[in-house]
Amino acid sequence: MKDNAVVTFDFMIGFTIFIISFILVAAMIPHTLFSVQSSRIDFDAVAYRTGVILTEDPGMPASPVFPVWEQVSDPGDVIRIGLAVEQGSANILSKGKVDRFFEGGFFTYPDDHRRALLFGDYPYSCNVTLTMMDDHSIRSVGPPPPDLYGTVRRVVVVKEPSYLIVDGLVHSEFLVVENETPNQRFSVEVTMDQLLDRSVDPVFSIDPRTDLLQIEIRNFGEYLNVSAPHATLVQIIISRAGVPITYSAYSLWLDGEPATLPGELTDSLFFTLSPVPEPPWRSTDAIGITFVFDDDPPASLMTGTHLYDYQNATLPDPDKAILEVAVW
Amino acid sequence: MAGMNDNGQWIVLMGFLISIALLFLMVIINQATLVGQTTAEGVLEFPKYEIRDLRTEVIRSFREDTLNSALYQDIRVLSLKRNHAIVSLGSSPMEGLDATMVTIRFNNGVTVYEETLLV
Amino acid sequence: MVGDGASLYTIEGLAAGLLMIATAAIVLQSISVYTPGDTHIDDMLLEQLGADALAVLDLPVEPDGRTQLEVLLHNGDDGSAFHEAFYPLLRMRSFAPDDPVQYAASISFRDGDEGVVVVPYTSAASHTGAAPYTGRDPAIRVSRWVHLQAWHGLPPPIPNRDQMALLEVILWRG
Repeated sequence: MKDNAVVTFDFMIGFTIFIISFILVAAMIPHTLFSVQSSRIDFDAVAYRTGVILTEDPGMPASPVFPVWEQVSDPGDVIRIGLAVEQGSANILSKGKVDRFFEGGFFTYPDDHRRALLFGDYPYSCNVTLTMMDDHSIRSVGPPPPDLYGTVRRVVVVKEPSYLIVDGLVHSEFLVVENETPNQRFSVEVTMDQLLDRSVDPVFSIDPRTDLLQIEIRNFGEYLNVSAPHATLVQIIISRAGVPITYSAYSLWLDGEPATLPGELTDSLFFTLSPVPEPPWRSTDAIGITFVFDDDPPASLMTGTHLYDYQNATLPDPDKAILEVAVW
Repeated sequence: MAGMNDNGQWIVLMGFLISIALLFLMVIINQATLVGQTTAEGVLEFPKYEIRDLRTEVIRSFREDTLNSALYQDIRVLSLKRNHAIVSLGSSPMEGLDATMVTIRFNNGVTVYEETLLV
Repeated sequence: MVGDGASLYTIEGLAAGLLMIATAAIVLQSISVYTPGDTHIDDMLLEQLGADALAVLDLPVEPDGRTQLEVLLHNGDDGSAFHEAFYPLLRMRSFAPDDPVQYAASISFRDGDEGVVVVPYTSAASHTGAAPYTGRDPAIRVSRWVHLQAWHGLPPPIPNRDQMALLEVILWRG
C-alpha cells in the first residue's frame, strides 16, 4: 500500500484542532473584552443608574444608628449616596442632602463617588450638576466632561426645611393678659405623632428626627415691656414628653446676629433645631422648646405655647430643578 | 499542498489573518450594541412611571374616599385602550382598624404588578 | 483498488468547504446589525425626562390639595400655562444651551361604557412656531392620570363629570 494519504490524516487532525480552538476562542471573546464594549452605551447606562440612585433613593448610612446619611461625620460611613427625601418619594430631593452632596470638603472626588454612587469595577468619572429653575443657579461636582460621555437628565424638586413664624404684629395671643404676672417663658411644642402621620405627602412631611426645625420670632418689640429697652434670653429648655433633656444641636440668632446664651434681643429671634444621630425622641413623643427670659426686670411679655404642626408651620414652595449626570 | 503552486503564501496568510480579525471585530461589535439594546429596552418596557402614577392616584382617591364605580371604569378602560394594560382594583375594610385593604393589580403583558396595602 | 492519488485535493476541498460554512454560519448569526441609534438609548432618556417632568408637575401644591397640573386644567387653561410650566423642564440643560425637545399633549377620556375619545390639548408647535410632529422622528409617549372634577374648565368635548382622564404627551427631538 502506498503511504500517500498519511499526510491527509495529519492534516485533518491539525485542522480539527485548529477549528475547535477557533470556536472556543470566538466563544470566549465577549467575556474577555467585556470592559471594552461600546463605551457610549455603557456610559449612558451607568449615567441612567446614577440618576436613579440620586433622585429616587434616600441613600444609606453604614450604621442603623443614623436615620439618614447626611448626619454621619465620616464619608466612609455612607454606603449609598441618594438625595431623595425618603423611600418612595421619587423626584423630591432633600435640601440637607443636596447641600451635603454639593458642598466641598465632605465627599472626596472621585473616590467616594466611585464607591458610593457609581459602583462597578471600572473607574468611571462623573459630573453631577443641579440647575435651579427659578434663579438658574448651578451647583456641580466633578470636572467638566470630555467629548465622549454618557448623560441623563432628571427633573426634580428640592424640598426646603419647614419653619414656624411667630410675628409680634400678628400673634397677639402670646401677649400676657393684663394684670397677670408674665412668667418669662414661651414654649413651642412639636407633636411627633401628628407630624409623622403617614398620609401626609412626602413633599410636605416634617420629620423632626431627620429634618431641621426652624422657629422665628419676628417683631419681638411688640412683646416687649414698654419700660424695658431689651429682653435677655437666659435659657433654652428642650424637653421630651415634658422631661428636660440635654440637647445641644441647635443654633440661635438674636436680632440677626449669631448669639450664645445669655443674649439680649429687641427685635427678632431665630432658632434652628438640628437633627442628631440616635434622636432622643420616639415617634409618639412631644418635643418642647422653651425660651426662658430673664425676669429681673420682667422685660418680655411673651407667654403661652405655640404648636409646631402642619397648620402653623410653613414649608417654602419646593424649587424645581434639573439634575444632570454625566459619566465617562 | 499537493500539486499546488506555493508562491504567494504570505499573501494568503495575511488574507486569512485579516479575515479572522474582521470576524472577531464583528462578534465584538455585535455583542456591544446588544448590551445597550437590552439596557434601553429593559427600561423602556418596564412601566415604572405608569405603575407609580396609578398607585399614587389610587391611594389618594381611597384616602379621600372619592373612588366610585365611574372613576374605576375610567381607569380600567383608559388603561386598557391607551396604555394597553389591564388594571384591577379591590378593597375590603379591615375589621377593627380604621383602614381599608386595597389591592392594585397591573398587567401589560410584559410586567405584572400586584400590591396589597393598607390605606 | 481505488486510487488515492487525489485524496489531498479532496480533503483540501472539504477543509475549504468547512471554513466557508463556518464563516457563513457566524455571519448569519450576527446578521442583525444594530447601530447605536437603534438601541433606544435616546428614547429611554427622553421617556425618563418626560415622565419626570409630568411627575414633578403632578406634585401637590399644598397639603391635601390638588397638584399644579390639576389646578391649571381646572382653571380652564388653553395650554399656555401648561406650556409655560412643562416646556422649560424639557429643554433646560446645564452643559449645553438647550435641548431641542418638542412635545404634543392630548387628553383622553372615557365615552360611554367602553369608548375612548382622545382630544388634542396643546403642543410646543402652537406656542413656539416649531414644526408640528411629522411622524418621521422617533417619538415616545408618556402619560399621567388626572382627576377632573365636574366643574373643570376644559373645553368640550370633555364632559363635565367627575372623572379620571389621561394626559398623554408625545415627545421627540426636532
